[in-house]
Amino acid sequence: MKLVAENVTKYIGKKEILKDVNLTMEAGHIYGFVGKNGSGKTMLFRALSGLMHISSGEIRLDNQVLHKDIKVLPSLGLIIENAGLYPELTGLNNLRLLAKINSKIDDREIYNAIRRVGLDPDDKRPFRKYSLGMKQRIIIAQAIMETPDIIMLDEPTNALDIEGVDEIRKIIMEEKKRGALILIASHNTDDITLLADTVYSICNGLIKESGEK
Amino acid sequence: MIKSVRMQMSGMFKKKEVVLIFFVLMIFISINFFNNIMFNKDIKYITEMPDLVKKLIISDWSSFGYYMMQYYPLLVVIPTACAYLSDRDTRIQTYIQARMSSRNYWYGKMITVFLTTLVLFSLPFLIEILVSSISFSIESSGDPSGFNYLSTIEDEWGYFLSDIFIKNKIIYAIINALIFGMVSGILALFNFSVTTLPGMKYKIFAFFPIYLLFYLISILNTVIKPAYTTSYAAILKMFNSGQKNYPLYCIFLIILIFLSVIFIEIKIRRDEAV
Amino acid sequence: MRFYAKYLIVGIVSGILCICSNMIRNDSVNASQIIFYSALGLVDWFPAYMEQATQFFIPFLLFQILFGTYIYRHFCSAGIYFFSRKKNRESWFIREAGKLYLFVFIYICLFLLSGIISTMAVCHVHYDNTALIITVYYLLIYSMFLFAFTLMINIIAIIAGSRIGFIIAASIEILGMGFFLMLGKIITTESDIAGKYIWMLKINPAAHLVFGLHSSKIKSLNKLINLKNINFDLNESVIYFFTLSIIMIFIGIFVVKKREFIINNRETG
Repeated sequence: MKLVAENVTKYIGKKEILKDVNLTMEAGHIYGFVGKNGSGKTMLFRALSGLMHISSGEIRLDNQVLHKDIKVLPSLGLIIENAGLYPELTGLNNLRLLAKINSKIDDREIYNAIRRVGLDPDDKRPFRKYSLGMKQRIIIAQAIMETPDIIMLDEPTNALDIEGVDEIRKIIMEEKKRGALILIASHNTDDITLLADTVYSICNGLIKESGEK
Repeated sequence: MIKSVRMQMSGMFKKKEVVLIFFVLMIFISINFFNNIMFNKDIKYITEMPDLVKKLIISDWSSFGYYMMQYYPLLVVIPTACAYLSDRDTRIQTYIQARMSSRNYWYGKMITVFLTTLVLFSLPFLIEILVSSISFSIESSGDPSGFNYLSTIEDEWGYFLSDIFIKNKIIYAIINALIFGMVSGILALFNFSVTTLPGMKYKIFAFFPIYLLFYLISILNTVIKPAYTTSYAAILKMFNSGQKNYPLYCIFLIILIFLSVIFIEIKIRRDEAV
Repeated sequence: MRFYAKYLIVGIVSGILCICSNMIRNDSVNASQIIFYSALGLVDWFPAYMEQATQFFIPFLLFQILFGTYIYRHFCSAGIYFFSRKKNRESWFIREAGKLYLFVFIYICLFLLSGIISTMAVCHVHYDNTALIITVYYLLIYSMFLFAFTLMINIIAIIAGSRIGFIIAASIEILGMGFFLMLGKIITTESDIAGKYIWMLKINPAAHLVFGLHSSKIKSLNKLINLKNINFDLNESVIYFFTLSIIMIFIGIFVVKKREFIINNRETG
């Protein structure tokens, strides 16, 4: 499986958010993205995931063109910075609701995903009462619960304690071993150094350079 | 408390909603004013001109005033309905309360909501009074009904604060504009205080209290059928001939203020308990 | 859906307050008259009727406030995670619009039923043949009106937030009602409305809700409602609101399809 971005450009108003982005990413690899605040990392993930239309260029998953042949990536686990879940539902019910969309998994997998990120699936508290770290963990759980082929993680270790960071890194490596294509954007240079096979840096919407292990 | 009010007032007057409502009211007033100009321009004698105060937008004789009052429940809450909900959603409330006590924050906000709405719903009408006083003759005393002065003078003694109207109609109009602003302020305050109750998930819910209040008043009117009017349009407008019960209206407004304080006190105690 | 179901209680309470409180002074009344009264039957085109019109209008405004976020809520908190999985937004939107219509229909039924049942407690209610026919028209017209405007609020909310959605929809409704109540100043004779001013009624959504202006080919119904001898068939109002509903659905499909998730939560920023 290959995810390719070819000459992708995105304008919001007159501002060029992404400039001629060219990427080829393969399954079973972790791609790291680094850059300053406002450099375009989150916008790149929004574009690659199909949540945002691009102004020009093409995003292809194997031979299928996003927004032409397919509307969304068929098997995607996503975390976007500061995006939450339904505040009045428990973590479990939030994940059940999201799992119902594609009906790929049942309660067993949801329970496993929640336990895997170190939370209790039977916690009766609604999402709005979770601590920041707990919110981040349940959001990671929703990204991995359907064993997706592509996982995009924008600041996955935000608000996590040291133990939590280690747990999440372990999960990411397990997903890579499983054969998922993983994209990580992070300010935490350790995340990128320890996990990523290939590193891209973004500056003002431009993918500037890459470094390979 | 003064710092809290000052800080919150400065923020409030810069909000888009406040500026928007000011312009909407000014548009209504401008249309009414130009309509009055067109009406008066062909009249030769001042005695034939209708009283300029009776042609103001908050007068019962104004058709544009009628449209404005249709929108009144919506207009009165738009500027301040989300005064709390916006702070809650952005969580800036935490940073403000860290700099002043919770009590100062809440009471400051209450005062801000009241004062902002008071200014917003009296200033445009005061501007109209000023502009009309300059453009039309103060000596005009015609009645828009077309009846002559002697036929209408008896009605004029029946108006609210009629002594003031007979002595100085401009002062009368100014007082009515300020009363309009004050009543609007109290309604906005009540609406705002209800939004602090649990269950206000989305900003659209901030419109619920005011419509519910007017609905319940109209139902009460149907069931009890009092001898006096309970329609906000009739009560707030000048020269409305319906029967009024001003002491009761004052009691009602005091109850609204009292309820607002209670809701805010409940909110303060809930905040402090967390 | 269960979460929103509890809001339907507003329909029950409004029905009791609105309908029963207006019927309380009658010894006996026909069921068709109750429905006719609920359909703004006795509201005439003069400002003096503003309070009566408002009384029957506000329960629908309250519904719009409560259900104005029924579809929009999916674009707030978990929008990104929901729609990154949703392949077909168009069919999803149509399904949600269908569920919304169901809520609208139930609300209007509860409003009427609670009103009629509570009226039965205070006076004698006769069931006449016309009651069924007028009820069908009431349910059709009022459900599609409420559905179209509530959907409008949801659609505008997706673009600009729930508050703006309600302000725009309510402004249109209030403007329509305001114009209708001022018609008496323009229409001086009944013959005016049959001629050049009939279009003022036919384009105004508020006028389509006032059964007292309408006519019907069904004799018994026409006798009840056609107070002004105007040729303004109830079927025209059915078509009017049906068309409006379809237009709203198509606009909604377009908006939902084109929606980009650049801001995580429109409501909070």
